[in-house]
Amino acid sequence: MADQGAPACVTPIDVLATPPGGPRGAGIAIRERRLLGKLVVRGDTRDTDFIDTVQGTVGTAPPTTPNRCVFHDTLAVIWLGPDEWLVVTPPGREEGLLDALAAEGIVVTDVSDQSTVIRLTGPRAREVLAQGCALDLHPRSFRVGSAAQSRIGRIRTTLWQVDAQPGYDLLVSCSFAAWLWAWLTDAGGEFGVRVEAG
Amino acid sequence: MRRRSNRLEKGGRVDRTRPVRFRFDGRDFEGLSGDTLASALLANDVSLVARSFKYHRPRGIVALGVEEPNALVQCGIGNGTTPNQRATRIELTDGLIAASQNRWPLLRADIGAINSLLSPLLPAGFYYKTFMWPPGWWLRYEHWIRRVAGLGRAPPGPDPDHYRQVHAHCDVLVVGAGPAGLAAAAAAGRSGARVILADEQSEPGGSLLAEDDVEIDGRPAADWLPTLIADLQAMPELTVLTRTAVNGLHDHGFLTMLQNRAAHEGTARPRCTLWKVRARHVVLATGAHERPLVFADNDRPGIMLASAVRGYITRYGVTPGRRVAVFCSNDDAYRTALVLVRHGVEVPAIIDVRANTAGPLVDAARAAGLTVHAGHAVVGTSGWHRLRSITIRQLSGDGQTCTGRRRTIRCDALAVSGGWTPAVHLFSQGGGSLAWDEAIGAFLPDATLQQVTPVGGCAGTMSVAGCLAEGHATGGAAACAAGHEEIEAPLPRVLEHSQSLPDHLWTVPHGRPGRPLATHFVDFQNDVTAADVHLAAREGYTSVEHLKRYTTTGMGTDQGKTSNVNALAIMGEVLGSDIPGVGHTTFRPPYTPAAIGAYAGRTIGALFDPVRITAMDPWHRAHGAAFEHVGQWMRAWYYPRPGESMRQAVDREVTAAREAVGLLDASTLGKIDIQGADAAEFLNRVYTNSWLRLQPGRARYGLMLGEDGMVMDDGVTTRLAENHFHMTTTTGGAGTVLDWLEEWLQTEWPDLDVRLTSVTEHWAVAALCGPRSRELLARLCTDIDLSAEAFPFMSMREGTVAGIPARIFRISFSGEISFEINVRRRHGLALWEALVAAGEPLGLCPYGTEAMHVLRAEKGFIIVGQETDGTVTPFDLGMDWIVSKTKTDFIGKRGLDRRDLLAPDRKQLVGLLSEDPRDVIPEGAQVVETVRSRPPMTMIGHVTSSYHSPTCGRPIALALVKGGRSMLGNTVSIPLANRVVGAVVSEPRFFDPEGERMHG
Amino acid sequence: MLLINCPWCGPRDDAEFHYGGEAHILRPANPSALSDEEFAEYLFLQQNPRGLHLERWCHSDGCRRWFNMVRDTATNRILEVYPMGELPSSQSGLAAWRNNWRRNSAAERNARNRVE
Repeated sequence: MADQGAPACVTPIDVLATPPGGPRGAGIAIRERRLLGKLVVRGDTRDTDFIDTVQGTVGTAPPTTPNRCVFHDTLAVIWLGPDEWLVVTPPGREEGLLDALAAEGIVVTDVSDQSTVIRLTGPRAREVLAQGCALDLHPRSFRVGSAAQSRIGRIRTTLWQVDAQPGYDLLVSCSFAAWLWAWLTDAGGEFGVRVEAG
Repeated sequence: MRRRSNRLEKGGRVDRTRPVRFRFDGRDFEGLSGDTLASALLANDVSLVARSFKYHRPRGIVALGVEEPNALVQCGIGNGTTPNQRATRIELTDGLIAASQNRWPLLRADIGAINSLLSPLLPAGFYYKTFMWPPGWWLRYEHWIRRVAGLGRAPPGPDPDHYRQVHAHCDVLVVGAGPAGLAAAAAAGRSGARVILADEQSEPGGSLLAEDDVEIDGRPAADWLPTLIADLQAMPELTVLTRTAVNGLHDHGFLTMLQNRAAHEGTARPRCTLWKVRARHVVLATGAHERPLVFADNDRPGIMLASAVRGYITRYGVTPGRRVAVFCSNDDAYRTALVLVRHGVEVPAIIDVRANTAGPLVDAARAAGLTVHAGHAVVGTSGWHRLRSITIRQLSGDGQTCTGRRRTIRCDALAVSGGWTPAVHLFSQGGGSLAWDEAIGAFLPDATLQQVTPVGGCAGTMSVAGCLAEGHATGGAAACAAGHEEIEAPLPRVLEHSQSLPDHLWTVPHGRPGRPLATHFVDFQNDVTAADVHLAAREGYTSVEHLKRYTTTGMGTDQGKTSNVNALAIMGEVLGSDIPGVGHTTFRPPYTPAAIGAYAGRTIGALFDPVRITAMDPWHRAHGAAFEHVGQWMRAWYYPRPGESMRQAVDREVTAAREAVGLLDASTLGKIDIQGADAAEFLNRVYTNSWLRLQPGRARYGLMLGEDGMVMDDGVTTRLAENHFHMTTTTGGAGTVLDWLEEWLQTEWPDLDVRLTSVTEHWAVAALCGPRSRELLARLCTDIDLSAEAFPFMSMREGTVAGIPARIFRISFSGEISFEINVRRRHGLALWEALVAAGEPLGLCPYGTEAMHVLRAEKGFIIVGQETDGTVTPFDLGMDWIVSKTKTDFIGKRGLDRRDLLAPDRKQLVGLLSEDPRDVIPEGAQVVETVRSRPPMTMIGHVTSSYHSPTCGRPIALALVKGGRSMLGNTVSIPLANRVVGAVVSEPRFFDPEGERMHG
Repeated sequence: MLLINCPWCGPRDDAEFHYGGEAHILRPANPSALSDEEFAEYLFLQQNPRGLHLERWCHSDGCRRWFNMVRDTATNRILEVYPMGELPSSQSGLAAWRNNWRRNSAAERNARNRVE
């Protein structure tokens, strides 16, 4: 199955083999953002060296306000706790970033394959999420740059808003991703669901 | 019998241009769009709709809405049939099929009516005193009780409908879209607050939909409504939800609402949606329910609540009869008399218990030529399937007895009003307290800790003007409290009748003094009479909680909406106590019956619980693996070849692992990345053994105890670098252990410099084991020196396997030379396929969890959760070697020193070898020392693991047996259902006891 | 469904949290000096008041941080949430802490002696 040299990569949504397609003007669209790099970075925000190092390596300081997501270049840095952040990178960029951070003594862990990201967009995205997520996603309370760790249905999910359409990135553990994919498809049934290629 | 039409020529909000056909009890009828089933039945002159629960008395429709106690019907057919639906809440749709309940063979000719004759034998609580003798007859009694009990029928198959749930947040939730609720929603919505207005009816308006004698801003209320509703719908942050019953007010402004959708939206939509709402402020505008008067034979078909009669006329254009009398203790019922007259219906009399009647409504009645019998009461009624006449007498001054002659008045319907009960259910559910108001004769909302404000009828304000004013003020205040600016708006001007205070006559005296009150019905649904309340008091059940449960008053599907106050008022009279002294019972959700499916929502069937699979799962499936659940994971259990039994497959897999090379998907085990300057110190505290001097690149087995000294989890932890460890846990313990470790770090040792990150899913793990495993690995991994000297047992190396970056751990759960290859999950399948391809010529055999269990049991390795159950210590397991004697502290150290944990007769881990080599002892079987012919026998232990061992050529078992280590060589017995198995106690390891094989 | 104000994430449904029992149970510094009964008091016995209860909570589906709470068990009113390792700041919360029998228990005295 592997072509010369590069071993094949399979994601939890690949396995479902959902054909892309769906109605025009569908209420929501879903696609897996395959193989993104993900790093958990730990550190003390009172330590200015830590802040500076992250700023220098990643390109932006880690957000110190809870439940914020900072977008920088092609990266996203998401607050997970008072001493914990998730750095999401395009596929392949995580290795260099991890090495750079570790070299500076920052506690960093590669969790790229711990979870996967499903991008949810569309005019009905809020209503679909509301069927399983108890967060207040009204624009007055949650907007681009807001992030939260919560549940969708029974599954722990980290989500952040990426555009005002609205669009969200949903981060879910790999072994729960198939369930979330099925749940989104079901919850969007009333409004029409378009599946896009990852 | 010829049926006439009770539909009035004009009036009502029904659409006379759109007829609707329906079927009731097998007969076809026609109604109008906008009807409920109840109004359509009344329009078709169907007055008999049910048989009462216990006595099977004929019953008719009593009310207009959710408070209906009698008209419960079976709605729909097949798997979609639903029992006990209130006809007053079923919107009439074309093709509706409904049937009456609790009668056989026919509603008009019901055998159950014999219970009416037997009624003296069937008072409240009769079943506590019957069906007890002879004791052997209970099953016979039960058979018949089951046939007779209950009302409707459960559907025979799975629910064909689907249900949804949705979360919502708002600044202000307004419950009820009557005048008070509409005013509150308008005031709040105007300010830009996020408002949800919910009403359980099909259109907003509440009581205004049923009144034709109220003018607002110079127009009839019904004409004023649409303008306000249009205003509301234009507010972008205001959501109007109709057909939505608010069923529960829980803690901290959390409410559950049930939105009925199917009837009008078609079958593609969910049948209903459960809303879970968090509101910053709740405005309760739930109105009030009218209650009946309690008099002899007050339950005949045709006897209805006065406001219901009024509502059927004004909302549905239906009159319940041609000669409708009125019996009341207040002014409000006079409005019913007047509306009847306005529509040309004869009103032979108004019977008012108040001797002194005065006021504009009374005057208007007299002016319309109606006869008012002041100071009188209805003391009896006649008519079996339908009311035929009522008998009235004058009341004595104190209302306790009757005087004067009896007069009979012919009528086919009686409109009754005994007062109004504010609907305080939600207020009380939310923890609010209630206070009795003597003037109104009802419990009113008193104090609450929540952000909840009752307005209008549910707060005791009965005038439309008062409702509008209260709603307006409260809605504005609630929006302010949520941080919005109140926008001024004028209050509408209201023109309505004023009313004098009502009187309260809780029990209407019997026409014939001294007769029991056995047909003075209090709770229609559960057939509870005033006599039952007296009986409860005589038998000592005087507290209101006992009254409720002994008589079952208020325990039906209507939750006593029309009966609770009457019942406890009568109890008050019996006890000579005031009503606050009697008190009230607790209100609990749901306010109205709700489909169970709504609470399940969409997390049913395939979505009920996630099935967790590993990266290699597609290969397992493609190769015919059988699977077993390990928690939420589906793990390959064994890989049967065509024609193989499970036993054959497992034997083959175990043998291949011992003799050639086996391959196990070990991805599900928990993995935790641990970093920090105090990482080793932290491990030293959470494990029983020592960790400070573990060298980088080396691995060690660790045992974790609870503070009580009991084994909690185990795993192998590897030092990757000075301040970096990779911990593994059991599959089931992955989440629990991480939570446990975090708890200790955050709550007990916050000064330790340690950070934990779960990597359980990041790494896919393919475990090779067996004498040829090194040979196989060498074919795919060329950048690591795999020799025993360079890569010893219990160490870790990083390199490349089949072109994939990997961490390889020499850990063995099988007792063979073993390499656990960890790669990023995305490459798990590719790794597995490469190993299978390269291993084929070497006799590689994939094996599942069953073979894994056998291999480790042969070696005597424990599985936490199998050999342990939270009550087993390391010493019980014979694992003294892993408990450090030099460490001053670790979690569980003091716990282990407790007397009971050092007792010599504790259960200890031993092996069991069955005497008959064909006997695989069932896991969980009890071990006894002495067998008796029948129980009881003294249990001395139980079997924790048991398998056929192909390596040993015989069955093996592990067991926990009291004092087992001093019983080696003894024979014990395991009694099974039909035989006794004998077994010899052995050491708990059966193969390679020195553990030499895995070190190679 | 309580609404709990996580000190980090703000108000969330109680389903996101994990209840952790009575707060301020100090771990003995020298537990071998305690009898089995005194140790069992530390390990197994917890307050069960009708009224103010000081308890631990973890925002397990959110930021996974532990914190403390003063809650009235009769009404579910939450008086305050406060950081792990600190004492309540409200008068009634502090009084509830002071009046808890555990303050005079052998296990707690044993824990405090560690500092001296």
